[in-house]
Amino acid sequence: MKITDELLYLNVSSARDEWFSLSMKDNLKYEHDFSHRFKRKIRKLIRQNKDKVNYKSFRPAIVWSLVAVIFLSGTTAYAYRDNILNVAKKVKSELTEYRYSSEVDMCTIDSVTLGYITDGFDLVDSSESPSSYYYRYVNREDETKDIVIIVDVYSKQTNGTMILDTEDAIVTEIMIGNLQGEYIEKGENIQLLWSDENCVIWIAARAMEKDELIRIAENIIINQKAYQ
Amino acid sequence: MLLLLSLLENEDEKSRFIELYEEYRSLMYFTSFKILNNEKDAEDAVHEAFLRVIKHFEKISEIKCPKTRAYLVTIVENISIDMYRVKKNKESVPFDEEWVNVPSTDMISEYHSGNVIADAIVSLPAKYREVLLLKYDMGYKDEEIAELTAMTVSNVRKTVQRAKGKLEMILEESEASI
Repeated sequence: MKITDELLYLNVSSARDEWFSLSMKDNLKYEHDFSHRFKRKIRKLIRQNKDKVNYKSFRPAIVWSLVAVIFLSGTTAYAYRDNILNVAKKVKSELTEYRYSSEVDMCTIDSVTLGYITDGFDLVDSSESPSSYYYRYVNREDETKDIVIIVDVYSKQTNGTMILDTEDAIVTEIMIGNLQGEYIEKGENIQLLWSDENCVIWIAARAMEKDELIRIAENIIINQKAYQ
Repeated sequence: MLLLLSLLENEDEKSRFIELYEEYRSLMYFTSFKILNNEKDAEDAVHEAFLRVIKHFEKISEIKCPKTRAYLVTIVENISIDMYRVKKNKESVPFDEEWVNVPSTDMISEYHSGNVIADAIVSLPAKYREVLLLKYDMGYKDEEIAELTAMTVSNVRKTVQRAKGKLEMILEESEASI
């Protein structure tokens, strides 16, 4: 039998489904907990490639208005104004999205000072840019214990979203100094999320006391510059 | 701990990419891990796959569909096999990467697809199957396949021709055995 392009166009989708059923189905059973290193690289990838997408072929965009969220998706949502940033929060069963927007034309982070870090933790990874700072500390006696700190700045040019794993987590409102934030506890993993003027700060740690995490958070000093 | 922390300026792009990432990252990881047998390498392969996919993001019209799922698995499999080839001299028990994710003839016959051409495509070595899926199922041009698979364009064309030849041979053999 002569294999032509037409034959392949006609039959290859059946082959694809057959191949997936026979060789790949088992791989659907598992969930992998990706490393911080991987997540950071993905985040960087999204940022670097934001201009390479052809929007013309997109399906109609997900409607993010609160009405749509409430009536179409069946999830809960609310919006509030927190400092300078506008925050739209969308709670789903498995995760929570925090969508940030700012009315400032441009904003940069000049510096981030971590005034306090728990004893026994060493800085193992970090990156600093005018729009984002990242630090990861690991306990020198137990590598499974780490502290990750991310500071992102938002402006009219850089609206964005954070997505946190809140499935089966306990989420409570909390004060970090005089700023309102959220404390998320899921088993051994604890997180803090709050905003300070045009910056959003996220801290996560494993096997750490809540008060210790708050102490780290309260000692972060961000020097940011906004341009109107 | 953290599901994903992302920042994108365009909300459409962000939503779609996150949906894609959330939907397929673990499937891609385990596809890669079965080839590389190393957590860090498998994560690197998944990252590299997203890096290539995002460059052709406009081709993905629907996130949750068998075609997109197979596309992502195909890309990460292709990358993982290449990584394995680079590493294999260091491995104590190498395997034949040509036959990665290729079902046995018994499995194929038990599947009862009723489609001899589809059965033949499924039994092809991984690299042949990958290129055929990208070209004839997902509609990529040879130049795009070259970018996605880190091959040269002429190599892509040669692979397509060899795959067709191999398919003809498989079909002749199966006819002869009937």
